[in-house]
Amino acid sequence: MTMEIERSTTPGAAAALTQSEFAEIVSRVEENLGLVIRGKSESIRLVMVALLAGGHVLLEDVPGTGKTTLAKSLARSISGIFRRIQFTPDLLPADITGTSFYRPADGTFEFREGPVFANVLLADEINRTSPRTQSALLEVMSENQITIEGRRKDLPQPFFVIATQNPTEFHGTYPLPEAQLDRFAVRVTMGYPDIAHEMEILTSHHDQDPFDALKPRVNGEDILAMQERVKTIKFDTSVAEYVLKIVDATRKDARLRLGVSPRGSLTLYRTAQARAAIDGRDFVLPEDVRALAIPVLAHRIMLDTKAKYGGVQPNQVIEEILETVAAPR
Amino acid sequence: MTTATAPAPSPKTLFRLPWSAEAAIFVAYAALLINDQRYALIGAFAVLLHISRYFALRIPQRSWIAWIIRIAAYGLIGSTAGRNDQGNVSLFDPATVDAFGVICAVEIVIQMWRERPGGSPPGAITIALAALVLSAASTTYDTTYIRWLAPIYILFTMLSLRSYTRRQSVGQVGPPSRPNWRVLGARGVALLLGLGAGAAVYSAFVVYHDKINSIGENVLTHTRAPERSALSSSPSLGDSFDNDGSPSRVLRIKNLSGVAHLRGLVFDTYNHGSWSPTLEARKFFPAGDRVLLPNARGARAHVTCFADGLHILVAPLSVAGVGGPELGAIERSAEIGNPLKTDVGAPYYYDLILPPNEENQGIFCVPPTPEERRRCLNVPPEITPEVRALAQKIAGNEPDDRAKVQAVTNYLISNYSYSLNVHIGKGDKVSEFLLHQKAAYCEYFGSAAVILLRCVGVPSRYATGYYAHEGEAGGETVVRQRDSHAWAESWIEGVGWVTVDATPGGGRPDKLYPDTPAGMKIWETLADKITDIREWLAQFSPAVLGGAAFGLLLLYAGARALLARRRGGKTALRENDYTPIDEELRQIAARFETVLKRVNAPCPPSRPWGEHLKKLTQLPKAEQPDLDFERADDFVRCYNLLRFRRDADPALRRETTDLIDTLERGLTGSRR
Repeated sequence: MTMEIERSTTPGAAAALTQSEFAEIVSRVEENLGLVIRGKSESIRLVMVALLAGGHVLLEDVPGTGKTTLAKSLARSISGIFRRIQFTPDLLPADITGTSFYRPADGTFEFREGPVFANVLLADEINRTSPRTQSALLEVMSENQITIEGRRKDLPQPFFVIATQNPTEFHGTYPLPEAQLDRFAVRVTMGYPDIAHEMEILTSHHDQDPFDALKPRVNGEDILAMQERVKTIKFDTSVAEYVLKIVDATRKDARLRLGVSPRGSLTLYRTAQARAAIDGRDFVLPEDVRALAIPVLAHRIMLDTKAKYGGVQPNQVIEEILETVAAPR
Repeated sequence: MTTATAPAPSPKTLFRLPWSAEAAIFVAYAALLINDQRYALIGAFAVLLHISRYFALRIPQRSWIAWIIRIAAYGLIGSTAGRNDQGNVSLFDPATVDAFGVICAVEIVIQMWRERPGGSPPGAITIALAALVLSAASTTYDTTYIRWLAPIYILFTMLSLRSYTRRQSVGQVGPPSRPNWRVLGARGVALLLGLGAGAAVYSAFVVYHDKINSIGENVLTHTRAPERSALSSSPSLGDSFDNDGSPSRVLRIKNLSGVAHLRGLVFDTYNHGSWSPTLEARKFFPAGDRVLLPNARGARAHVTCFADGLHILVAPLSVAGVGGPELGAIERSAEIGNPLKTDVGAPYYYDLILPPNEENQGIFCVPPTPEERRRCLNVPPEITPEVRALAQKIAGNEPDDRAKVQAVTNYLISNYSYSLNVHIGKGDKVSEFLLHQKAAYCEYFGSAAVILLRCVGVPSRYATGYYAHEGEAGGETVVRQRDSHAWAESWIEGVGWVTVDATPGGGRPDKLYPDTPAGMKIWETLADKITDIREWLAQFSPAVLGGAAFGLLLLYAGARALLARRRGGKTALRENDYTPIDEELRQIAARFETVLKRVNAPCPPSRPWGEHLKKLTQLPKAEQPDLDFERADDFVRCYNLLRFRRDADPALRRETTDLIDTLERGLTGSRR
């Protein structure tokens, strides 16, 4: 059964995107990423979901699994300004946002933009910097703007942060504060590739780096248009209730010190729309909610001490909640 | 039936225990089999356990099959449990413990054949159950084989635990990897070394076990010595008192007042320092109410006996009667001193009826027959003439028996001293003591009093028992192993049998051991609580206890259910109370649910249909339900459009209805 997605009612150029154009762009980007990141279509899909839902991505895994490569490849696939910050312990907030400096020639102050003025911002090894610097990203990530010396500056659109962190190393790292974790739409873990895909990686790197062959596949306007389109995806009341039941269950679970915030439910709502759109539907299914519950919610909950030392994993809690909450039919 | 997608390759859900865990279980099984050859079916358990490695078939998790097997096995095994004389199941009988071991053995097999979430083997639970099996098998009188099997078992268990810590071979899913001969060889060498080391340690134990045991004994004596009776069935005079001063408790008596000498056995034949007849040589007969006089008048003292030794019921000589819950199990000897005995294991309980007068002639005080009188007056030939002369000198001139007893007692108490160590050379023990040594312990004083009194014509006999002196709060008296004592009993015409204690005051247990360690007291308080509960439970019949246990279980289950309900249920499924759709669509949904149920593939409430169908198609072909997957997928797609997109297209609704009709028809068609 094929269906033509209705035209968005939102005025402007963004609404002019058809379902086939939408699908074509998604597959173009995904194909491009697939050239470099082998056997990780799930992770790529999640990153796409976050991008189209207007959220930010936290890539978390052990070193060498392709976190940075995925982030860089995505940035390269989108034509626009790409900036990268390598987070180090001595990084200061002004190094991120930018700073004003004095020009002796005409006696004025000039603002020099920091790396956040980009369409795609790669925050590499984000947990290696101090909480002070991490929190400088807070306003940036949620408001898409910065305030410096009392003046507001808007960031270019689209604005997409893709951060990486290594969860196994603790020396010289500062775990991300809850407030900041909450600002990431999805947390994606890469995992090791299987043998066949790892062999592909080896052969593709034989005499060149496939990354060098990547070309931009989509521009900023297209992304904005796609984000607008995602917002038009129909969300049935029963599926919204389903989202709320899952979120509510995390707030009542005895093992959790902190449940999912309303920002979390909103993100789950928006990402489910994005997933439906990528899937070629103009309405959200309970399946979308279930598929995204772990990547979207697991990093927002906090286990209580007993559960934490009892070996309970946040993913497991969310999985169990999914098994206990009735899905709408 | 056509399926849109080819069935995924069957995911092997084989799970295996590590070889070492399986070997440990086999050792435990072997121990049980050797211990009780009746359980030959343990061999079958071992085979079942082993072949579970090769079959993926498992009992479903929530199935009642496992419970049926369990109930059948428990019933069968329970019928082999040990029984006591009354025919009731005795929990502490070795046969019952073995039966429990077999139940655990069955449980291991059931655990291995049950489906498990995640397909990991039931590692921890099988190891714990195997330990129970081995423990049950070790309740045996023949400890030789268990000494050999236990180290092997421990070795295998350690090896299996090792693989747990390395998170490797436990729960190997899928086909076994090819053997790595170098690793296997290294393991074999390690195993041999381990066995060698185990054997060496074992030999060291065999050679030095006395020394090793004595270390433990020395440590334990002042905390908790084994509770055993200090009474001897055939006392003999030696170089040191057979009483190691252990504070271990023998008796606890409520309301014992006025009497201190609690006699156990009485002997009348002296032969070179040994007293007889021995306990084994006596005949005991069941004693009824007519002999024990449980309803005699007097104050009642309640005795709890903790010592599991000779099973002798100790009581004052003057006791008027004996009663208690285990009256039927008491036996009495009609000979010398009429001692009482029971076959009930410790702790056992009885009541003493104490008359106001300590010279009362109760159930123990039967006038001596002419034969008994002759034996009680017999002065053995080894007693030297000097002793006979001494006796005459002490009491020969006294007017009556009572005065003679008094004179002998006074003489011994005032002229001899107490000593726990005696060095008697050659010759008769009592004669040496009376004439040369002049210092010994209670057994010598008791024996000497008997001999001296016999020399002056007072029929006397030798009694062993306890000297009760340690009063506790709440009118309780505690008698310990170190309170064992010996004295004489004499027959005085016109009075009857009386207790004659000629041991100097400083040698009596109350002076020797005035203090009890504080740790001992705490331990005893705890033990008393347990005994009290046991005693209290003993008054109910097994049926009442079983009923009460069942009631408690029901209460617990009810309380849990109530709590789970009140908490809103972390486990309880949250209700399916979504914004209603129209009635027609609701009916269509219900029909599809019925279709899924009819093909034995009901969809869990937490799972959307689309996901459920996808899961079903991924099953191995043989396990897939008899469902038209293509149509079912179409149906779910159409239904989702109606339900979640709220599509109002009448053609779509018709198509959905047609699809569900077809699905239902296909169902009945295939059933025909």
